[in-house]
Amino acid sequence: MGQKINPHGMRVGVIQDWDAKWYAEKDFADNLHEDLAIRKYIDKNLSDASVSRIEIERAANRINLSLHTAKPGMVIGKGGSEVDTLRRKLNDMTGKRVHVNIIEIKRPDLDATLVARSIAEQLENRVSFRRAQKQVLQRTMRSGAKGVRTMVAGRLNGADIARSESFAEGSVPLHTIRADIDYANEEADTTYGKIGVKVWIYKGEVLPEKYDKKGGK
Amino acid sequence: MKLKWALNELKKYQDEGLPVEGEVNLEKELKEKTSQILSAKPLKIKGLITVEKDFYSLYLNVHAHLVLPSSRSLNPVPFEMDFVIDEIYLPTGSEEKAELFSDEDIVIELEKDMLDLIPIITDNVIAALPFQVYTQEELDSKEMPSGNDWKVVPEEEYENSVKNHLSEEGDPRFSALKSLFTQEEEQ
Repeated sequence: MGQKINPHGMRVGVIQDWDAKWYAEKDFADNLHEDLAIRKYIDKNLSDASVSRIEIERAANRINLSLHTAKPGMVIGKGGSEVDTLRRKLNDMTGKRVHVNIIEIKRPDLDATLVARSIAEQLENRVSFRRAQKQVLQRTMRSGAKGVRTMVAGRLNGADIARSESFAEGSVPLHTIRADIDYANEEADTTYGKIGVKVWIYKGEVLPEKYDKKGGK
Repeated sequence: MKLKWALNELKKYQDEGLPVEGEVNLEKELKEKTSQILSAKPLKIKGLITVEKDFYSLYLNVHAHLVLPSSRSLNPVPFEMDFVIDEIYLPTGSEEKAELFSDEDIVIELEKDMLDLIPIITDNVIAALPFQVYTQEELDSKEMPSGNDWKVVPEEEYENSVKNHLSEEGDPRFSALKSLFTQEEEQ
């Protein structure tokens, strides 16, 4: 079997950026554990808020959190109640001042995490795995993706023997590093056990910006 | 309006097919399956069930008038959508036949010897729900909500600010290297 590398991991530092943007020497382990605790808390408490990515920046005694979400309303809550609670909890958890930037995703159909979660939610609601994947394929391509691939694996439709089925449309050039491919992996908890959902979305190539003779872009 | 047929019952429509047209209220079923729908008017459906020897196909136009929560403020937003359900159903225990159809087709094995349109329409409405909806005021205004130590930023603005920050100040992770050349020159 071919060995697969995470498409995001392979592109970090080339066309994609890190999710944690800080540098530390002796405090590295503490900061790392703090990051993990923050991510775990947000995953657990904002699971319905369509949060696809959490960026953490640190400066002195301050943490800047950037939450990429398709539904800022779910993160904010009525009158900002939810986000104020979140900030207070994180302030207490870290002992640092936490600032939250809520980044409103412009085209959520091109976000692999949101798409994978939507398939997983449909599978949990007993929607047929073929219907869930096909609908997603059509919507993603209609939103301007150059290619999309989805894969579900597990006891599909409650079958005794687990298997995987995938659907694809367009191209997904995983070996091209400048190809902007978003990838996500989610799990659906069904009555027959877990079903894994993987989604790859190819959004086009990221080409280096040209510099003119004066040095400007 | 009848939306559920035993497969034996459908056999008599093998030649001309079974037309389906009318209004169906699925608000309860939709709300049970998703919290994304605040209310739903009866759906208008029009289409045809075709009965073949080994499979059943459905082509159905659906018009839905829903109320969804705004993605930004959670205020109710009226939302209309039209979509088509074009699916093929196989009787129970014949899933291997799905491979005989084209990759374009949505082929689904029925759980019982019955064709029930209610879960089919409900699932398709939920699958067709958009990720984001906005009120007219939110679409017209460029103002984003903000509060004490938090703010909402559009994705484009955020990306531009990151780009500008990097081009002005350089990547902060390499800040320790700034003095490298001056130190070397001094030595």
